[in-house]
Amino acid sequence: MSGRRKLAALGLGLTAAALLPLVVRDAFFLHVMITVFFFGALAQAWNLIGGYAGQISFGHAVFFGLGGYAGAVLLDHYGITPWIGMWVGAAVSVLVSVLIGFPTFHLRRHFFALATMALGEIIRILFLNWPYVGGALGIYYPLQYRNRFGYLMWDRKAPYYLTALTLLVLATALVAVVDRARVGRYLNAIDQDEGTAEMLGIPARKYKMYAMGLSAVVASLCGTIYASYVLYIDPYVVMGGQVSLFLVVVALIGGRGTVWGPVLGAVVIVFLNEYTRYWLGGVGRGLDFVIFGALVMLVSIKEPRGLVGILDRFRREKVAPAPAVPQAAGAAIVDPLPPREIGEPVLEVTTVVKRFGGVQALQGATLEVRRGEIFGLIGPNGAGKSTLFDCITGVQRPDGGSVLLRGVPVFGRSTHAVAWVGISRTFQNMRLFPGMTAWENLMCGQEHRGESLWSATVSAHSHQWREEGEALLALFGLGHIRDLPASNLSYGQQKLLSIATAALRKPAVVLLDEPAAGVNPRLILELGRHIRELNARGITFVIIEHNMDMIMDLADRVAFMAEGRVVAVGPPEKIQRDAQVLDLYYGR
Amino acid sequence: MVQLFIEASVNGVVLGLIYALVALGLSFIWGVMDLVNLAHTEFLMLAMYATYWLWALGKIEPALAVPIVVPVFFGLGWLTYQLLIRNVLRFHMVAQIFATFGLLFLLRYGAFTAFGPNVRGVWATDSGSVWLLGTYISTSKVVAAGVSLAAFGALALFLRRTKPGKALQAVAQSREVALALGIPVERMFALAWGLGIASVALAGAFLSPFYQVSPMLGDAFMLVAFASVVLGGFGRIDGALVGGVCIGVLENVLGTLISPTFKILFVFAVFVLMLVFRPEGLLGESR
Amino acid sequence: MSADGLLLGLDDVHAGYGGREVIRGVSLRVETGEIVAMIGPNGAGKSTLLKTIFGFLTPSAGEIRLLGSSIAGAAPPDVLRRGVSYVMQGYSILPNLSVEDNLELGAYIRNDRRVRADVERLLDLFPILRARRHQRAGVLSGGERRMLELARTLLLDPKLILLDEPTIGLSPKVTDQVYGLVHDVRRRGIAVFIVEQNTRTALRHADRAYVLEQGRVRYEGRGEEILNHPEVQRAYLGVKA
Repeated sequence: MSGRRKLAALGLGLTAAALLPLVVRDAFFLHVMITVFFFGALAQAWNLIGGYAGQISFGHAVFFGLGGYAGAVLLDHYGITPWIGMWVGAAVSVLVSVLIGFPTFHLRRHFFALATMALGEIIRILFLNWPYVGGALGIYYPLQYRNRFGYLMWDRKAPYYLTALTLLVLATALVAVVDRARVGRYLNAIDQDEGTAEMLGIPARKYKMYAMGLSAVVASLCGTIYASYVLYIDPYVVMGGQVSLFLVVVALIGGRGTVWGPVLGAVVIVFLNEYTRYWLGGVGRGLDFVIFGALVMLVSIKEPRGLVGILDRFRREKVAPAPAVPQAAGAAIVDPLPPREIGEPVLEVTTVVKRFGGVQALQGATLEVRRGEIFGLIGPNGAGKSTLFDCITGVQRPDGGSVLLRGVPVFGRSTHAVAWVGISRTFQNMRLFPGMTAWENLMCGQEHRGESLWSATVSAHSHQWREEGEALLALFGLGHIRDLPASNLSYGQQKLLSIATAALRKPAVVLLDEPAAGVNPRLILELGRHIRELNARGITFVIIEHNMDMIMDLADRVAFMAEGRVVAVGPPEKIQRDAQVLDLYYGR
Repeated sequence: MVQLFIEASVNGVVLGLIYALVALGLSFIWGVMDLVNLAHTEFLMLAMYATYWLWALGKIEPALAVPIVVPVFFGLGWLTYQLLIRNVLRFHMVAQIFATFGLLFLLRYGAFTAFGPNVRGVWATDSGSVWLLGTYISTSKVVAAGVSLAAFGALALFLRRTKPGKALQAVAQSREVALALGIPVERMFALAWGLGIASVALAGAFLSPFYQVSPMLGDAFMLVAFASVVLGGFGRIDGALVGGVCIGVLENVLGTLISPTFKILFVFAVFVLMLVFRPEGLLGESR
Repeated sequence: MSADGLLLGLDDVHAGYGGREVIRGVSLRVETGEIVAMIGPNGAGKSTLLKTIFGFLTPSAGEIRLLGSSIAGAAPPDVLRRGVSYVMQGYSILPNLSVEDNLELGAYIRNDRRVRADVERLLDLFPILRARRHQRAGVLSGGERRMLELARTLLLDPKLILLDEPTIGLSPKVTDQVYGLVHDVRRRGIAVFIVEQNTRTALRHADRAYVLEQGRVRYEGRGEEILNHPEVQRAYLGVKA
């Protein structure tokens, strides 16, 4: 379906849904629909942080409850309308989400899940014992506000229905915006490989907090409206663990990390849940959850994108494997490379020392790389080459010495901040983002310094970056595979993509960690040529490599490292004839 | 005041030993195959139901039900591994979290459907109390604590003195080295699951005389079990023991001295603090 | 060593990880009771080759034969039973188990009753291990760990031991000790196939050596003289301009 048709269909469906209460009078059915909307919106809220960012939270009911309580307390104690109360609740929720997220975001996945579960329980117990909010008895909504204008309290179901529907629409719209915008890609990247995302300059924590904050706001608004609907609130109903877990189930089965998953999940699950309870009574309540449990297990093993994924399978054919990269002979005409200038030092490493456990990985490594160079770094295993890269990029903190990048010290900066100074790196085990297309991977490599959260949410990639990206893909001969998932690309294509992604924003220095490893020998020449092309555009390269034919041909200068020190530096011919180097390679 | 403190401590240690036995299987499985079983305490709940039904229908006292319940649950653990866990191991950590999460739902609400929501308790013959280290404690609790210690001892012996036990240790330390020695790693994983679930079933059987069961019991024990494991150090048997006892003592002493309402809150707070500041636990080596 | 003493034969073996090929057509042989070294620059695929022989990886093409019958793609326990033991790179001791337990686990696939007696006999052969038999293997020094690993392989009476970089991080003196053990092992009629980073050391002790580079055998020869061969130098440092 074309975009316009889709939009029309959507509008039609929405109108139909909105007009439903006029036609259907069955109170139970309307109640179920309202519940669908609430849980759909809640699941969307969770989707932002648990789906896109991959931070599995089992305590999300906290925000739901905070919103509900804010509305209830302000109305009951101070006569303030829930329309205002909901925003107070949202603000409190954002604050709490920051307090929760800040210390826990760095935890491994299951630790984060457990921590959110425990924190949720802690807050629930606090509310259980807090007289101001009614403690265990909770708060009954003062009914005198019913049907008064602007108090979010009505006798009939229809107004609630519309309010809840609006909330779901807004929540889904938010997720749709995030899904399409840069921020969605960045969250995916952070979920799939946070280290690489940081290395490309994406500030992971900032984006996680952002997603968490948005998530908290949506959940909180949900809570305020829900409490106004059931006209009652207590810690068990809104903050209980079962709410937290239920909304995760909805999002999971529907399909987390998708726009429609939570909506689909809410429809299917809430209907099943409510109607089995209706028909089968108490037993029914247990039975549907048994089925949900089985579905969750199946989803986790078979189809991570849940119902949305299953539906997608029916629509899309199997993706064909990527065609091989065309051979060098018969590829596009190669422009002669402009002459290069080699300039001032752009990377200065001075007597860097680093100890790991009992091993002295670096024992005073010193080298200097000049702007415009292709600088090779060779040496036996364990010489400290990768560790040196880690120290240069801020992934590891050296025990001594200094690293200056364009005259700026690297130490003490977070990984993304180092990236912003002007450096990028590829990894030996080639860390791409497997769940995204080649193009999306590439676009993660754009400049992130000064990128605001707002622009990342509302605007697509700027024209400039899209042009740069297209040009780079064309240069590397990858244009034809840009929309394939990165995991479908051949090994050589993945290598090229990772280099392109690292080079997109034209950082001053790009570190390549064994780019030729595992690459088909026929493609190595191609690889070297691409590196030269990028170098001609002003990028300085430092390359760790074991393929001597390649590096000796490519590099302007080569440094030989052994046992944590730089032993010899010079042009390739000089190093090759250096007896000491050969000796060190041969070992004892 | 001192008397109160002694009572709280001793009760805490006894309770803690029981928590430790509940946590044992969780920590053990985690250590052997690096998998976090969110559904662990659901098996506790099922074992308590099994013990209850054997008592209600078969008139078998809980202590005597052990020779039935424990081997059956060993088999259940083995089966769970073969049917579900084995397929999940090669996936991303997130998939593993969700798979055991789904299992949690399945077991919890399966019990709900089968047994109804009501709380049930074994009306054990009142075994009276025992004087222990300065205070009176109900005998059944002390027995449970004693069984826990015995179970820890037995498992430790098994791991240190028998061939399969040493093989399990090898698998826990390095899957690759174990493979290189010809150890059938998959079978060891199944064995670990069998032992882990059997141990939590043992805890369930001995909890039955003084603790009532409902389908939501797993929820009540879940965070306590995880807190014990994380506090002591996940993957280590002694970690589960130390962690469990610490949690028990913490809960009881803080609950008595400061406030009984908030005692579980202290446990959770300690849990979160440990996760944030020292996730490898008291006994673990920092990474 | 008879002329027909072929123990291990590789014929045009290709192997790799996922989409990338690391071993690109390797053929070599090891005779009964030989010490054969595999040297070559990093990234050449030496460890990958050992892993493929032992069964951690399945070759995508080619043949691997032990005493005439194929072991290509056989799982590690099978390969162990056929008489090939593998000492991995880094340490393959189990640090939290005692020295004695480590030894015993070496005999895991055996089911007979003589394991205890064999372990005692090993401890006699290696007095240093006997002295430390109840200590945690994690406290052993580098050389002692290697000793433990080698001793452990003997419990299965192997015909061939694959050693992956046994002297990494060891002082020259300890390196000599380790190679002393290798010679002891050979005297029992066991062949040893060693991947070695210390090229000169390997060549000093081995009967023959293969030079592996970029997944292919570049040269085969014996003794330190091969280091002067331009083909070998080229393998390590690339073509001279």
